[in-house]
Amino acid sequence: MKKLCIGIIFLLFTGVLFGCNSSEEASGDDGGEVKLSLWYPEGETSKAYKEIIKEFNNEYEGEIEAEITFIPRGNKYAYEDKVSAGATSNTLPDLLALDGPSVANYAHSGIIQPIDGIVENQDDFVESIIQQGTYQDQLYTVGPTESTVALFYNKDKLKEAGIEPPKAGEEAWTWDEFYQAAKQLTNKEENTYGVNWTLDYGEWIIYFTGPMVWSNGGSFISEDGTTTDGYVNGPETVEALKYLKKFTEEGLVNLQPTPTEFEDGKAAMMLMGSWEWSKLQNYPDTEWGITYYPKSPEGKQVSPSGDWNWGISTSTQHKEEAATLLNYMMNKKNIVKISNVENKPAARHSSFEMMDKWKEEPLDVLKDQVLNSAHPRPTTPSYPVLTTKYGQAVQNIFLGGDVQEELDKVAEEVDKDLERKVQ
Amino acid sequence: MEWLLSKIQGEKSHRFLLTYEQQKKWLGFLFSVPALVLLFTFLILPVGLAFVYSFMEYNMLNPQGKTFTGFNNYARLFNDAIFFTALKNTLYFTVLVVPLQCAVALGLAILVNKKVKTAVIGRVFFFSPVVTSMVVVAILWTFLYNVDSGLINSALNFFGIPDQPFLLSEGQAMNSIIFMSVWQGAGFQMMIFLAGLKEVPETLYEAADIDGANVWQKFLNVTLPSLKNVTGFVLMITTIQAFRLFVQPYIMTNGGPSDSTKTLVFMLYENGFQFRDVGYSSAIAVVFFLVVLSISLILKKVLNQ
Repeated sequence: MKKLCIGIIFLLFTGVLFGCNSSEEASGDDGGEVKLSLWYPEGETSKAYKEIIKEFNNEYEGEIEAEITFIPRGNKYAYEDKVSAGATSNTLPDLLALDGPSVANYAHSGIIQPIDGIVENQDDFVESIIQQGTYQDQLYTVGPTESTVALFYNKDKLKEAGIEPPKAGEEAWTWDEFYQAAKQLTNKEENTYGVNWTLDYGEWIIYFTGPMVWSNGGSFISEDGTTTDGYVNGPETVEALKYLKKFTEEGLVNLQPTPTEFEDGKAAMMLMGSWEWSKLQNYPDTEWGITYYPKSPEGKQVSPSGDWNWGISTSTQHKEEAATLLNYMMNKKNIVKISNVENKPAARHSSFEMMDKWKEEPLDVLKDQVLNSAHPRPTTPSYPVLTTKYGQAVQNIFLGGDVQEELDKVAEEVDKDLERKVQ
Repeated sequence: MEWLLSKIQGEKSHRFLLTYEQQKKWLGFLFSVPALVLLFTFLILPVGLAFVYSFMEYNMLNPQGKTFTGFNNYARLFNDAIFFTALKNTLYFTVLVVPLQCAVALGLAILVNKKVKTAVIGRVFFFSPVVTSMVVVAILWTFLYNVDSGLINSALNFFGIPDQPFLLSEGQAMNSIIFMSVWQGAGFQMMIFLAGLKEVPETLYEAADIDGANVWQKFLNVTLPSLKNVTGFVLMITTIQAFRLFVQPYIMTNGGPSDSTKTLVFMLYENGFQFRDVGYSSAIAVVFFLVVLSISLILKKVLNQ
């Protein structure tokens, strides 16, 4: 009896302490079928991925079985936190989804591996997707969809004011034209604003303000990736942010907008992500159109790019099967499926051609930007520090902070981090 | 249970020839093993690891590559201007929130310590913010503090006061957070004070009445001295809680504007999870631990006098 009791207690403890490990080891080597795990942030695409994985499992029955886990993302970095925790505890999945700008950081830390030569029809992907997935001349990730930011506008309000939005990329508004339009469309008595842009605390700020900097000939980091001093706080970047600051200073933008300010007709224009257009259809009272992201007076028109994509983790035991699954998810048909669910531009030229809605107004603008003016965000292992510090600096600038001073602080912090990472 | 005890003891005694005293000792130890294992795994081990990691360069995404770097992280910390800003903000928050929250809590406790039905409703009313998730409360207050369409500015306008920037201004952001934190947290301390008030013997008040004391004199000379121990406890937990300020700035201001609401825990989170710099954030954690520990010790000493 005594032995039994002690035995039970012992079993309970070993169970508690090693429970997590034993379940991990059990998977993978039962009966020839290879098990693959995937992580993806929870969202509108969850359903499409569930379906694709189900079809994949049917097709490869007895050979490969994939299981996808959806992880809440929130509007900040909840998903990235989970990946970090996974890396620390060595519990990363075989395939993991990651946001475009994370590629360099993850590749540098060695948690994803190069996939050169294993992506089928690689040339079919749009250029910006390959650029985004490349770190130090090696391809690490590919993704099914692209994104961009464009200028959404309220048709009635622009007509009323007699403003004609540009119809082609070459005719995109210059900064000054955009500013004048915003000024004219702002009505302080009626509490309506010229432009709406979100002040999200996450990745959004560097993503939506980036084109202002690039179009002006500026950048965030030196080309060899060793320093940000003179780049993120360089004269072109400072000029771009001084320009944006005018909008907040003069009250052409609401600093604390409601989530549906544009939809409710309280803002005449909106600088917003390409994925937003489908939500606008829930507001039939507001007639809207899309035009190009404004460009700097001397520069060319630029738009941001980047989206979630897939990498193969270095901890996987089944690289070959993981590659099979990756290629399956990224085939022409499935990309159309994912693109349709998320209402995002497809990342394969051939998939793009299969969908008619992207050839017509108003979505043709988004397609044009993805194919012709897309610019990736900087690839650097210090990206987390860069995007966080830059985001906070821009917030401060919009609230009245000095542009040069704030950006100098960003350069200082990022350079300190770069120094530690490079050594 | 008794059956099990006698069974184990009985079998033990003739098999292992342990004396009764020895049996008692071992049995006691055996029963505390579950608690000890859990304590060790989830409390002592993490704290110990944080201490060890604070001497390392440790990238969260590359745990194999961690190396000892001596006091590097600490040297970095004491040269980091943001650390001192965060320390200052945390202290500012604590110094204001602790007395305010305790005073409000005591006031509420006295208010609802009546033997009437409405007092029960009051207790529920004042306690409900405590059981609501801080994240939800913080999001709600972000709406209330909205400059253009917030309820608070509308109320101020009604009294002829112009719009205030609240969370958007360096000067007001922390104070706005303090105000909502007091509102959210006071209910909890109120409950503890209430329990203390119930313990004050009615006879003391009766004696004070006979001596001709007025309400204020009764409060000063009967209520407050009787609550001495409770007050000490409440002050202590409120202080420790205040030091851990994180959710409100995380949700409402993201540490801004201009780092005016960046706290030590916020900085720890940012470095640990966003920048994945485990070594540095562990160093912050260790310093944070020492600061809280020393302040608690000082507070204890002062309260005991």
